[in-house]
Amino acid sequence: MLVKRVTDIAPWREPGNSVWQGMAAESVAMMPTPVALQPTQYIRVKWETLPYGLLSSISTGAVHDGETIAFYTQWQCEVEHLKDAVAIALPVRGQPILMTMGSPDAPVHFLHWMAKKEGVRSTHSQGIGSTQLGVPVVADGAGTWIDGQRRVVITRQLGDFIEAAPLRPGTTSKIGYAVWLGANDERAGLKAFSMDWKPLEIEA
Amino acid sequence: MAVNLSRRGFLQGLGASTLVLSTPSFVARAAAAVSDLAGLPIPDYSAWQDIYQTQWSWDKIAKGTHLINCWYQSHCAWDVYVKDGLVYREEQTAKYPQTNSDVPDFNPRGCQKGCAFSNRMYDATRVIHPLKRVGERGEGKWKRVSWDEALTDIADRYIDVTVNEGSDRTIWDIGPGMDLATSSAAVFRFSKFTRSVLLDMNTEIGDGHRGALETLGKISGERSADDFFYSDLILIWGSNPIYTQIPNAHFYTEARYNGTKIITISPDYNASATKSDLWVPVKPGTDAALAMGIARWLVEHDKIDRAFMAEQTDMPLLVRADTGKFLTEADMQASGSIHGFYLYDGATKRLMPAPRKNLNLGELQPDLEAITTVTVRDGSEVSVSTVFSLLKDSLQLYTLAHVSKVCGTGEKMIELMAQSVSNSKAMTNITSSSLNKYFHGNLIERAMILVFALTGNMGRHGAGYSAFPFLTPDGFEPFTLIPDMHSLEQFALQAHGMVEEKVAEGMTEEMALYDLTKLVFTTNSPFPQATCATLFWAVHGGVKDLHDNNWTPFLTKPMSDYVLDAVNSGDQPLLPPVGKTPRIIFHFVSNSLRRVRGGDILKEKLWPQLDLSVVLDMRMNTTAQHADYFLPCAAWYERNSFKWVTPLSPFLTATTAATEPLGSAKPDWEIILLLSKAIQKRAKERGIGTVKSPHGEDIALDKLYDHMSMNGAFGEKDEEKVAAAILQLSSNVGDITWEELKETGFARFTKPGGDSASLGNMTDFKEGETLVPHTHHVEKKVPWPTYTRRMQFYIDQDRYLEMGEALPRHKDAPKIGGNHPFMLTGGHPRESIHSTWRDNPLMLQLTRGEPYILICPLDAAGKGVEDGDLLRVFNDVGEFHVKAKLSPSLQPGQLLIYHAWEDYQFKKGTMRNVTPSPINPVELVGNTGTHLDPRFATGQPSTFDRDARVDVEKIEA
Amino acid sequence: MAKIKRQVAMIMDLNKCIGCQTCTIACKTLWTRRKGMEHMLWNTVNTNPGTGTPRNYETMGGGFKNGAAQPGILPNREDWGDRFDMNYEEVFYGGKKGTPLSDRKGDPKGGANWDEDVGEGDYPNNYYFYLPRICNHCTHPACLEACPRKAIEKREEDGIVLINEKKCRGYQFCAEACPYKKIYFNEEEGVSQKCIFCLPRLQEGVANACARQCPGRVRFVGYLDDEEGPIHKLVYKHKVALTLHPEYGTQPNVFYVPPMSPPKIDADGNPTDESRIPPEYLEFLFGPEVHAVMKRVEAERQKKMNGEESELMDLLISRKWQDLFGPFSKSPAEVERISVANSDQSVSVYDPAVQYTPDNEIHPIKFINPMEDR
Repeated sequence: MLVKRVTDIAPWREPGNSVWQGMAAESVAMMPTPVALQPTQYIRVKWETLPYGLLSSISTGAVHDGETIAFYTQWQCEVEHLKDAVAIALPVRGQPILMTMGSPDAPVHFLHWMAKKEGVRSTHSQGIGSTQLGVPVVADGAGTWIDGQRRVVITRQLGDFIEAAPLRPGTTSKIGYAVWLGANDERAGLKAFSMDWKPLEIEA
Repeated sequence: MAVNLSRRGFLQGLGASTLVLSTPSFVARAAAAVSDLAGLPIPDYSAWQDIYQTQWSWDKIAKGTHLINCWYQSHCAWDVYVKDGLVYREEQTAKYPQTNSDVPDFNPRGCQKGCAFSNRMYDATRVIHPLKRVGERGEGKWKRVSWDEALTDIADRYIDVTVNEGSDRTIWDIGPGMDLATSSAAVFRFSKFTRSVLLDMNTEIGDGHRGALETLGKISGERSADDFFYSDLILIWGSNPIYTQIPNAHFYTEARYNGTKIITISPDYNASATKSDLWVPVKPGTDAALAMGIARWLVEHDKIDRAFMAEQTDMPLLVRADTGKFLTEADMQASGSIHGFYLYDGATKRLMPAPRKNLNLGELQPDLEAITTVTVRDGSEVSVSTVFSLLKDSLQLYTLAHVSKVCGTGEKMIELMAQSVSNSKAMTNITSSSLNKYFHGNLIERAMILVFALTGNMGRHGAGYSAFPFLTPDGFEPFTLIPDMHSLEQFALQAHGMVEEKVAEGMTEEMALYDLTKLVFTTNSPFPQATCATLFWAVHGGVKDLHDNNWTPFLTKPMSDYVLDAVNSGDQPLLPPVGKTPRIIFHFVSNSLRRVRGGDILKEKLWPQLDLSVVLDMRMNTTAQHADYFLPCAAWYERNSFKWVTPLSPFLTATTAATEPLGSAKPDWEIILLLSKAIQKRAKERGIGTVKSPHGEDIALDKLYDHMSMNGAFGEKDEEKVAAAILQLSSNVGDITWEELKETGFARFTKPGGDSASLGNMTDFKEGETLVPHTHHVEKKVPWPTYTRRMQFYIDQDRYLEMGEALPRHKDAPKIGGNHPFMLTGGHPRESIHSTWRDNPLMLQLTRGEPYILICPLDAAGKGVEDGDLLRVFNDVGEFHVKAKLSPSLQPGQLLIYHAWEDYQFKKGTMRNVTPSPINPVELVGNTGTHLDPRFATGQPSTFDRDARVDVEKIEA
Repeated sequence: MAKIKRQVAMIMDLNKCIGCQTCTIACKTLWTRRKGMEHMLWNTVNTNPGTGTPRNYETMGGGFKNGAAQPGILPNREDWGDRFDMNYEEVFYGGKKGTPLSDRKGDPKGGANWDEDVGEGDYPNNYYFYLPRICNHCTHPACLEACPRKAIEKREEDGIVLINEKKCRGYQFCAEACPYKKIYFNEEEGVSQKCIFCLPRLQEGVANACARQCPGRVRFVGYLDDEEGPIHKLVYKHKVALTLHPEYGTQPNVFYVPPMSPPKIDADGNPTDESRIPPEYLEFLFGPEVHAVMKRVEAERQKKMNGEESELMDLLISRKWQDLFGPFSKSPAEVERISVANSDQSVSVYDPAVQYTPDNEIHPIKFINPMEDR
């Protein structure tokens, strides 16, 4: 995905703003996290035959103004629910595996937006089950639900942070996505995710 | 846990089921990484526990208790935890000593309500500033005023009424707030000096234990709860201790493990029945028939204790066949006493006077079955027979078949109960105050006591009938009655002299004390001024107007005529007299509009006549809604005092000020003293000095505060000092000082003491022994305080003969409320003491949040009613709406609503609308010169709300 | 899972439980008084047979079968029983005569103790008893095993199972997995919460609030392995204490002495030889061993009735109250727990109209902090 530079980031902070409709969205294929990889027997047994993470794809986009980067996600969400959520994943260092949410040497930083909370939560993972609160980053999030579509914008300050992904204009990083449909009781590892990292090219 | 690194092994190691075949390749990469996870240590997150550590922390602990009349359950010693100047929570002190190693100790006591008082005192019902009504009564429009403004206005209006109409137009409703300590000291002294009238409510609330009064001459007498451990049979009869004796209940469940047999007798399969070995169902109000049936069985099988009966009961006394009255000394000789009785000595075959001074029979061997002829004073021959022979005749009716029909109880069930009774060596009862809420409750209780008397179960460890439990520090009376501390000695001598005078006339000390309490009803006495609450509401409240109908066909004149005759003749007390309207009512932690049976007639008839209704309380309630002033009392953890208790838990229990009173609330003592100060001030300003009461008594309005405070010795801020003084003056709590009591929170009573109700226990409290009532009668042969000086089963007073109640018997309840198919019974709830916790959020959370009426599924189906439906409950007198709760515990034809719901908890009407509570004419006797005459707390008419007739229909919510 | 060195346990004697709910209130006023905890009753007492709290929890799955985790579902808000939100200020100060007290959310249709004293059966043979429940601090906790974040731990030193509220993300797998449905959710804090077996108290040698404050003297607290203590004797020696629904597979550490009941009554109104509580129902709750337990207890009681000794009966009576609590017999008053200054302690008390004027029909009701408004 190419992150174009824009002059005024303000309208791009609003998920309902038509600026996002104007730009060409990238479609990202999604798949449910395998039930076998759910960390506990209880979850595996319960969800063995229950469908989850059935989003086949989401629309994404991103812009930046040299200071702030804004990530846009949109997905089909028939029933609005407080437990709707989206997280964007960014590699902190090394070559983390997205599906297992990183490892101690290659952690993953998430910016996690939840319909039931204001803003975003910064979390840090060294593997499935190890997610902790991440370092404070200058980040924000806002979401809407219109006509069965969720639209969320997550913004973050560009630059380097300790234990958060470095994002600099003119560099290429990677991005991953995870989406939870609250109406289907999705949470924790019960989600749709973007299978593997997508390249994130930040325009200079 | 090791994880196999191969893909298949990995999946097996995780116990996963078959993976979806199209899993992308990175899954495999991920699988390899998962193996690392197993070794991840769980981070140390113990810091999260800090919040819980903080929650269990406090600044200080103070001793506290709940100064409310939980009666059979009272009182419990609590530790009150304080944080930042507010009460945080409470937990039982649980330091009671074990009486001896035979019996379980008392710990911990306490119940869910006490445990929730920290919540209650801060909930939405609490009022913390004086309020003055600004809209109409009941509208809920209030203005916050200062104490000064409130008390000055009240003082002026009080003076107006007292001067212009009379001192007996000011009334005190003194229910649950009556502590017989600092609060009562204030109110009783106020009454003493102003002759304003205290409502003696004990019979009005249905706690009169009339049958016990009639039989034992008193209502008082209870054992300690640990004494039940010595019983081999406990009859839970007319009580639901699993609901209403929460802190004592463990003694009963433990006794069961110890081999005690427990039988519960009740119309419904109540909670106490679930903890019993046998449940004996009876139709509501028919318990007398059951008791008589058992009595008949015992007599028939000769399982009776003749020695006990001969000595302790009136069974051997002779009754004249011609008049139905006892043969008396007056019949036999000139200037003979009407209270000298006779028996027939089986040894010498002669008529002998029954012992009077002492029940010891000496050489006498009374013939219990004697029937003979005597020549009376005027020469005529009169046939006489013993009470026992009369009883045997009357018992003939109560065959198993007859009792089974009346009670709806199986014949074998009755027999089994009778056998259990006869096999028992030590039988006790648990009877609270429900029986006297049936119209013929007096007969029920007399019949029950009969069973105990026939088997000699009285006055021993684990054996005896107990009615009413009471135990209080006896320093209260002197403190309340003396003008000042200098007069203490004089008072003591005077009091002693009054007792001695009566003893010289032939009374026992106990009888003398009871007799003296009659003075509270007379005018011009050194006591506070009291009157009968039942009659007050009946006459002045208009309740008697509900009673003239065809429910009681056995009456020879309208019910209200019986009532008016009784008060006009002076048989029963009433102040103010008929035709004089009350003008001011002070409600002192007492909720008359919620309580008085007969519904809203008080609001219709009496309240419009009142110049002033003042509520002194901690919380808004039904009565407060209709008041003119609300004076906020300090909550129990915000002041210093103690309260009367019972022998069931014979520990004086104190509460101390854990925190300052909230807002501008004040301790009870302070409020009354400030009121008297305002009265004194305004009297002086208005040039009013001493005025006369309608009965010629002097009322020094301009010195009221001086008198109340003993010339400043006990000012308004001296509540603690008052508590200390009462304690110091008490003889029955050992040596403990107030300072010590504040530390420990409780102290064991060392003896019954000199207060008449406490003395009624007639026993000694022995170190290391459980308490047993009536040992003085049974062991020391001190006469019982009846006019025959014995447990009295034959009552030869005219009204009793007229009503056919000379002997205990069963009588069907009148169809109170009209000819309707259901009998509406009741009970005291688990989750509140009267209305005190009724609308508390925590208590509501643990019930249905609103009133409900219990109905059995069979009856409900017949009416098309389902659980939760809204019902209209109605009879000839009134109606109310309430939700139905289906319960298979209820018998067909029985409805049950638990008591003390506030009026505002009903969508329409109130439960009291259908319980007009007609008065039972036998309870109106007076001037008999016997134990039946009215005196404090007993001998007055009751009100009845457990056998009203109603019908129901489903209505739309 | 770490190996447990010792296990604390509780025994509840259902012959003594009188359904007074003092335990419920004791726990509530101590632990579940924060925002988001209003509906929480970590300790519940229900009338059985009945739906229990949460309503119908026995049909909601969870636990284990033959060692395999079983799916479960969550109760809804109504199943849990909510705190009613009563309109006190409207009733007392709203200025409209005759306003009834009612729940602002509408008339209650259910609650935590809705079917109190109902039970089952028909008059005169209906039956019921009281069943108090807390978290069972299981040896094989389904909650711990279900949590993907390992936010639940079972302490080595005493076997108490705790939810680490900092680690918890509020996923509620634990709550689904618990077959006893004893895990609540705090909407305000976004975490699951449950009985902590009064750990701060036990650490000071003070028994759990629910146990210590029970006026019925229903509960024993102690270590399972303490051979001198009543817990061990009742469970292993006399074998009269059983777990609830052992088939749920979690090995609870809360045990029950099952309840006796008076005999059934026949059509003539006479007592029969049959106990009112059907043995099948007791077996449903406590498993097939319950029949032997009932016989054992009855036999020992009969000994007492005959004037003979019985260790079991004396254990169950426990004449000295302190003996119920083993090593946890201290009083809180003996322990110093001085609080942190400026704790979150505050209360709200209604302060009706300070000033009423005839034009002002509605009275400003304000909440005051009594500490400020002196």
